[in-house]
Amino acid sequence: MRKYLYIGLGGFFGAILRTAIKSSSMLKTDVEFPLDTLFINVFGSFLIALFLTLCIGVMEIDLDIRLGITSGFIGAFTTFSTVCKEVIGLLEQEKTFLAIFYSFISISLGIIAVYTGIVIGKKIILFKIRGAEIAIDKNMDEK
Amino acid sequence: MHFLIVGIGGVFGSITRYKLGKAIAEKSDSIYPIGTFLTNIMGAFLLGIVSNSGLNSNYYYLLGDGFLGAFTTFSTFMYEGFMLFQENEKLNSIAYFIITVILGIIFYGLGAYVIKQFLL
Repeated sequence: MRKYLYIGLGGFFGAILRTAIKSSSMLKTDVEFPLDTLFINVFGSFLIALFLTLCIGVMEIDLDIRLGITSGFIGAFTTFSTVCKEVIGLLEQEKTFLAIFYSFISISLGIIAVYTGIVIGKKIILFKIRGAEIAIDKNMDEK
Repeated sequence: MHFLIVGIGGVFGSITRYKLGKAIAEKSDSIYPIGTFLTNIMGAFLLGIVSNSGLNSNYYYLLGDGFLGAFTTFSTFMYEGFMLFQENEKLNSIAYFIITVILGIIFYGLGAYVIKQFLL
């Protein structure tokens, strides 16, 4: 039961943050291109990959909280249905090239973001392990 | 005020995605992340309906931006697809990405078409 509380709580803030970014003028372009959704989805993909890599490696986070962050917060922050709506919107305006480009770039940047998240996550893990080894060595020397 | 409405939709959208996705995944022995796949396609279809049914803005915040926005997910879609790639299912991974996007667009259009016919 407890996990639904965390997932719901994560979903609450994830959906709000997505809407806040979309309704701000930060990522508005002159051409009609959904740069805000693209940013949200790519950044969210990076975050989920980084977080899950760290979870497997070093962080001992309660499973329910982990679900709240991944399935709840990041899951609700990023969205798939809006991408489909925006692609159809571009097609309806006969911006076929832009529609195909948007689909393609969402997937490609999403994959690159996941890859980057995993690589950085692994680097952090290595760094922590090395730090721990150095600490152990120091202890041994002192003894 | 509309942020609160979106947030409430987000609570139920993410919990429904988790429960439904898990129930589907448990019933399948496919290598594909079928739970995420089906919820995403279903959510795209429903957003086609919701976006074209002339709802007033508060209902749209609740159902469209809130519930369906959170019900479907892009990050898990990317992560699971990438895991497939890493498990050396390279072709299946690429197929998964392409098929999800194409079907999502088609099903959004289908939902839009269905509700427009119904409202006529």
